[in-house]
Amino acid sequence: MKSELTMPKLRPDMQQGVVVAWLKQPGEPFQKGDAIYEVESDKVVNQIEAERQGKLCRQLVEEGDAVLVGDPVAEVE
Amino acid sequence: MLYIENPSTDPYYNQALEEYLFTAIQDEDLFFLWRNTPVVVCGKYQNLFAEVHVPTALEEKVALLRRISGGGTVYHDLGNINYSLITSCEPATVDYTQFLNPMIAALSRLGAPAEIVAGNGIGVDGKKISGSAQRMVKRRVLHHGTLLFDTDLSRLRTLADGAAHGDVSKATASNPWPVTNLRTVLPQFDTTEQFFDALYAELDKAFSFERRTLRKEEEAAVRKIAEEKYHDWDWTFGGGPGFERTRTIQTPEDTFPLSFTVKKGIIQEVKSEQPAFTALNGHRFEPETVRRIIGSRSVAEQLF
Repeated sequence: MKSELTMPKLRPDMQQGVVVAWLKQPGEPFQKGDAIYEVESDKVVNQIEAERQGKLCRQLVEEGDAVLVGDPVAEVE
Repeated sequence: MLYIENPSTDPYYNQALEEYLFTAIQDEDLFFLWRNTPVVVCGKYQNLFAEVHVPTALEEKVALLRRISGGGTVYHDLGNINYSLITSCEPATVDYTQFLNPMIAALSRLGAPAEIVAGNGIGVDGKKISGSAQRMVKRRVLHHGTLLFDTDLSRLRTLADGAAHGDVSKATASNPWPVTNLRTVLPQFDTTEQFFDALYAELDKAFSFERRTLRKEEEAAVRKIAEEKYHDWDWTFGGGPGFERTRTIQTPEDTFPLSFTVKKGIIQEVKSEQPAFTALNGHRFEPETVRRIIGSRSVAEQLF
């Protein structure tokens, strides 16, 4: 079943974050806890981990794109 | 809290030490104070070439480094003290105050009216004396910051002015802010070393440090990271997002526009009415290489 990964809110006043690096490529499977991408916001580089196992279907944004909190960044299944 | 003893002032070694401690030790809270000989350090996803005029830095024997945390570019010299705090955290929960408050309290006890400025910096009288940044992986966070005590501020401004210099890029921007040295408000310390010792003593009261030195094999592991990553051209200069640059080039005979892109440190898509410049395509964007291909030092430097 397909679902979306969305930009997390890393601190209460965070409005958006920049997807600075993709650590998984389309088609690549991942386990729970694997790092999927890196977000930079407020001078923090944060590795975002998978909450369950799955496969990355599509990256919806490019490295360097700013994404609003809650907006989709990737399609997974 | 473990206090890691580290007498090194080698910026490459110190960057590697931080990374080693962040990844190899998972079950302890760690703190260390450290200093670097002159170096410009950019954030992980910055365009180093926009942040610093690379030929000038190399000529002045200032090291250039890319770190693993976010944020902007900073200049260190022996008048600046860095602090690093590595601890566990809730995943994906960013908090600066828990790290800034103990430092602000220590500085206040020493007599500096320190407060948070610019979100995650520390300032006195509205001027910044400390910038900080973080990296979070799983349940560990590395928080580090600078403390300007007696840094050559004019050199800081010339080498890392925080302007993007017209490059088109998705790189993380620096956030320039007026800066000052702590020495101006802490005249009781004659040297950075005296301030270092007093700051350590204040922090020790708050953290009750247990001092620890690195074992031989740990030092070897740090040196390996320094060599393989922080001395590696691809990490430092090839890292960060690509960018497009346009420059007006002046030669004794002519003035003309030149545009090019740089991806992973490699020059591409050179556009110029002067065909000689297209020979730069596919080469590293580094002063020595550009000079060799163009054949003129003064023209080559205008590309940076």
